[in-house]
Amino acid sequence: MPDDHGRGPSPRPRGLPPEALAGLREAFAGEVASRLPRLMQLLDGPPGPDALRDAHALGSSAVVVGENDASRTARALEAELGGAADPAELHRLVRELVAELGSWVPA
Amino acid sequence: MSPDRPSPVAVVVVDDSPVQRRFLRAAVEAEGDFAVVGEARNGREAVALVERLRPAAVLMDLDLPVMSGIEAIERIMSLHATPILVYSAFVAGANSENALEALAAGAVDVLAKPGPDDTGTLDEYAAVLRRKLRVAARVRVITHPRGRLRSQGLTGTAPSLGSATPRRPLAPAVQPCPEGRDAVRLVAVGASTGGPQALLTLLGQLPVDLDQAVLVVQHMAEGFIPGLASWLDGLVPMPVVVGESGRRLVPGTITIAPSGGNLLVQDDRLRVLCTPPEPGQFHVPGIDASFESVARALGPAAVGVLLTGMGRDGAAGLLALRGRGALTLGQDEATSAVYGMPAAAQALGAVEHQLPLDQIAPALLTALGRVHQ
Repeated sequence: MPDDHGRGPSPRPRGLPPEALAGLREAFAGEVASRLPRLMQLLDGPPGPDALRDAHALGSSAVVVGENDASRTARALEAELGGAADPAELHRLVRELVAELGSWVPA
Repeated sequence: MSPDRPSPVAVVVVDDSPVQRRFLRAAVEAEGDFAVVGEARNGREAVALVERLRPAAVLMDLDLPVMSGIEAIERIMSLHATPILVYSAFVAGANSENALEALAAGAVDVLAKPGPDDTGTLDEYAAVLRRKLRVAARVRVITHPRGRLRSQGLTGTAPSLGSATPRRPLAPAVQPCPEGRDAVRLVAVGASTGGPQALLTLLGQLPVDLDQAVLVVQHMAEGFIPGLASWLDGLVPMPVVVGESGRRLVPGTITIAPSGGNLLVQDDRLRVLCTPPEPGQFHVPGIDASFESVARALGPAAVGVLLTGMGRDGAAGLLALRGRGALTLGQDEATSAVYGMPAAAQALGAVEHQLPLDQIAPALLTALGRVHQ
């Protein structure tokens, strides 16, 4: 049963009307298309001004469409960006995130 | 909304993520009792939308570009006070202080976005959102001065919101406790919806060298109480700790009842015992349970204060305190975010003095024989 005051259960993409689910997936594809390329810039240089927000947003949104592994990676990336921001670890996490979410980006 | 022709409750959703906005819209509109009338992508848009659309409630993320969620809440609550339900990933676990900051800024409640390790279904989560929105939309919120003052550069973190309002003459007929009456040793405070902000106002006015121990029972979910204690500890003069079984309440220290059960005062040495909630107990930690234990242990050597909150928890406990000769104070309707618990206590005859929020601490200090300004 969901906690009425704090954390609730994780949303999995089931039980919603098909059109709502399709809409969520469409929106997530758009979000990946806009945010993932900005995060990929971490492979070539220091974090940009939106990197932390992009990682945070993808971490939350991925759960909505059932991409929980990608959510964990995005949250780890967010934590790294908010902390030590070790370049090697950033690169590893970005590559992992690209592997997990790359299929959402239109060819 | 006319009861004869019910129409959907107007809601504005605020999130920079299109996925979250779409999910929120689908979730809150699923049963037809809410309609999303506007979507904002940042705090500034949210303030403008609320001003233009005047929704019945706002569902808002905290991590927003352009203007943060906290600043947007402050501005909305200072300009067009509207019930705000915070929906954010930044309010759980180590970030729980953000939840308290949002509540202090005027948000009615907070709900954590789910994480990758949570379990459940989207439908369940949508149901929680709607249930919380139904409650939030009924809350009669009051204007908060902090956003306005901050925008004018007049205040920073506002350690006491009560101090931001013009001080009125001390109205209550509260007198120093008469000689011969047991010396007051404990001030017990109960609060629920709107409580963190009210606690900040009340506790911010109590001096660091208070001779009495202070016990606070705030309805709050598991995991948020340490954040509440830490947050208050940084803003009020007295030290703030979370209560533990077997320890004593200490004069000059504010003890917050932990979540997950009830904190009972066992004896006049102020030792406390944390117990599981009673079967069927809805509000945790329970104010009635704590107040009744204080009444048994201390009687007239205690003061009971019941602040804003939905429901009636605390009313019977305050009555027990009054019945044992303790001074009892209740927050008035005009300054309560939700005039539920104090109203229930007032109806029971449990409230000796009903006061505006910013006059409770001065009245308390008068009763304790302290000089106040």
